[in-house]
This record gives sequence, C-alpha cells and structure tokens, in this order.
Amino acid sequence: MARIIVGISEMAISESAGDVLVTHSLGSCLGFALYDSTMKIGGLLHSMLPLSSTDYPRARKNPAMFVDTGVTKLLEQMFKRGCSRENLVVKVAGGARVLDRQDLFRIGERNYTVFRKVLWKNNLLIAGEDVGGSVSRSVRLELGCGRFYVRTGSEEREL
Amino acid sequence: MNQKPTTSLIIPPELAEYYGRRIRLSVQQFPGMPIFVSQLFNELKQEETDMRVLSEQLRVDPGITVNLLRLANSARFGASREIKSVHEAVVRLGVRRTTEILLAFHVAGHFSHPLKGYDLSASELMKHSLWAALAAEKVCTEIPDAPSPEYAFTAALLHDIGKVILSDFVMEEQPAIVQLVQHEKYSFDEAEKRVLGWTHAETGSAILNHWNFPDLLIQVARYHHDPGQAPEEYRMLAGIVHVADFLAYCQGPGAGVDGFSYHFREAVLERLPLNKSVVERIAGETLEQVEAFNAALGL
Repeated sequence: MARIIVGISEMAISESAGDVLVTHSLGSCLGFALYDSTMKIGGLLHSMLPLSSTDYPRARKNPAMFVDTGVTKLLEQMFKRGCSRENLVVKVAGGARVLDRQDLFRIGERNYTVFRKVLWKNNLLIAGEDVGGSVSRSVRLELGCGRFYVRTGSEEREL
Repeated sequence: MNQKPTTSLIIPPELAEYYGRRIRLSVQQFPGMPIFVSQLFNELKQEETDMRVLSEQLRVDPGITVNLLRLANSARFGASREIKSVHEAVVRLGVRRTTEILLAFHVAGHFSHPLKGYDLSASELMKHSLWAALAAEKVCTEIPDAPSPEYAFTAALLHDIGKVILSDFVMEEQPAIVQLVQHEKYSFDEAEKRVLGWTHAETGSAILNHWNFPDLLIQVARYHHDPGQAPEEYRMLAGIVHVADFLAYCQGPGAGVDGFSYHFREAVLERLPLNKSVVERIAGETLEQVEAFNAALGL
C-alpha cells in the first residue's frame, strides 16, 4: 500500500489495490486518470504542455511532458498490461486559465483541446471531468475501487 | 482590454491606517540577510564575483555546502566524477549558478512558513519563486537586447517576497478580498489594495528597500503585476518577470488562492517578441532546471 506522487511531466501505473496515485498543482496542466475496472489497474499522468511538436527531443526523452505523447504512452502501457478499451474509465482535471484570454497563456485550453483529440482518435469517452476555471487543482486515483478525487483549496469532491 | 476597477478603499480610513501602520512595522522588523548574501544581491553582476572569495564564503556555511555538492553531483549538471570539495563544485557549476543557488538557499529561509492568506503550504512560495526565476532567466536568452539573465533570476526570485508579510493581513480580510475577486472581477492585487491599502507587490518593494537592495530589484517587485508603470529603465525586466510569473503559475506549484487571478498585461509583448511556441518551449526547459534546484535545496 503506497501513496505514489506523480510529479510534473510524469506518469505512474499501479496494479496494487491499496495504492493511491496523487498529483499536485495542476494549474494549466492536465491530470489524466485511466482505470480498468475489471483488471483493477490504474494510471495517472500529469502533462504540462499540449503538443510534442514544440520540442521533439524533449518529447522523446520525456513523453509525459506533452499531452499528445503522454496520453498515447499511458494508453500503450495500460494495454501492454492487458487492459482493454471497453473497461477503461477516463477522468480528467486541470487546464485552468488565467483571467484574460490572452493567447500566450491559453495553455490550459490548448492542453484540453489536444486531449479531446487524442481520446477521439483512440475511441475513448470521458467519464468525468473538472477542467478550466481559474483554480489550481490536485487529484488522486484510488486503486482497488478506481475512485478519482479532485481537490481545490480545502474542498474535495469525487468525479 | 481590462476595465480598471476603482482602487478606493472599502474599509474605514481608521482601519486602513491601522493596517498601514502594522504592515510598515512588519517591514521594519523583517529579518535581514547575512551580510555576505546581501553583498551578492547588491552586486547583481555575478560573473564579477571572485570564484575564490565565493568558495571561501561557502566553506564556512555547512548548510549550503551540502546542497551545493548535491547539485554539482546531480546528473543534470553532467556530473561524470564525484565532486568532493566546494571549490570543485564552484568550478563545475560556474560562478553564476553557484551564486544563484546561494541566493535561493537564503531566500528559501525566509519563505519556509505556510502562508495561509494565499493558501500556500510551506515551501510553495519558494517553489513558485524558483520557477519564475529560472523561467525569467530563460526568457532573457530568447529575446534581443534583454537584460542579463542573472538580473532576471534575482528579480524574479524576490518578486513575491511581500506575500510573506501580507499573508496574515490577507487572512484577516479574506472574505472581503475573495468577494472582490470572485464576484466583482478584481484581480487579486487590486483587491488587496482596496481592502488593505497595500498590495503584496508594494509590501515586497518596501522590504527590499528596507534591506537597501538595488533600485532595480525594488522596482521590479513593485511593478511585476503592472510592468507598464515601472520606470522606463526597468520596464523590460519588469515585463520579463511578469511573463515568468504567469508561466510559473500556469505550470508550477504555488498558484495558491490568487495565482489565476491576475491580469496579463499584453503591452509587455510589444517589447518581448514571444509567441506561444517559444513560451511553451521555455516552460519545458525550465522544468528540468527547477528539478535540479529543488533537489539541491531539498524542496
């Protein structure tokens, strides 16, 4: 039983029922959780930027940094462990935006747009989401039951 | 563009005066930096710091020695053989990086408490400031005629120091501030001004002034949310810290209750030719540096 902290531009997968996958300070980053309800395998990704084309060498070194390569990589690893598309539950949080809709810092919205595209290509639907707004979030995924919680400040709710 | 909300106080004048007196007193009583560190902040041009003098000063500070060796030996700085002495570490990292670590180490001492007014846990302000400092340094390498990167690093490292004092006051008036931000479209600093009479930016510049730090650092702290108002000679640097601050809020820890409630001043982009792909690349590069610094500082 462990509390596994997923850092910025990292991902983690666990098959242990007692484990909890956690990521903090999502800001405009996206926290993407995958859970196979039959195999009881869960994965969590914390991606900071939308597209790997921004910096290919960095994306090769660390695919989790970018939403496009990160989501694809996490899916691949889940499938490799025997998860199947039909049993995967997808939840997502983050993608906050700053006050003014200035293009330079619409990173959160771009992250979410790319995320939707990658899911669409992979034939997956979103079961729960808490995105946008002007708040920073933390999330946790409980293995065993697959529950996904989003925390903003001192408030926590299940998605 | 943003309609400028009124900045008149919404508290009785006696209360504003009371807050003003307490804030000024806190500034006067704010603990100082060790003399050697103050000198480093005052010099700013860190390449000019003598390597031998730096090594000597570092050797007498056991706390920083451990961190410095840890950083010099981290894979991110290309360590191939083990670095065992402070002097070797300074040679490996260079005077600039060593000085930055030293500054960050001492600033971290001031930023170690949780700041409830901003909903920041212990060390979150430090992490945010480090993100901003390293991002600001990177921005300087991307634009023509930029100020030197060490100016940007230092100014960004200290830009939010006022929060250390203002946090308790924000806490006292949190309902009023939150009301203005959430329901009346004020940015967080505008709300601080209306409710307390002081912003964290003003408080920060007062601390740096009290420390007799260079005018550049005082002015950048003062205007990091409104760089267009900064004196002409510091306007570009204030703009760089403004951008780096946003990037740090978007990408890093320490956004707290206020991080997404500031205005982005688009006018800064007239001087800083940045586009979204450059900004995103800077974010990716910054993360790596941040991780190395966090490890060295034990954050």
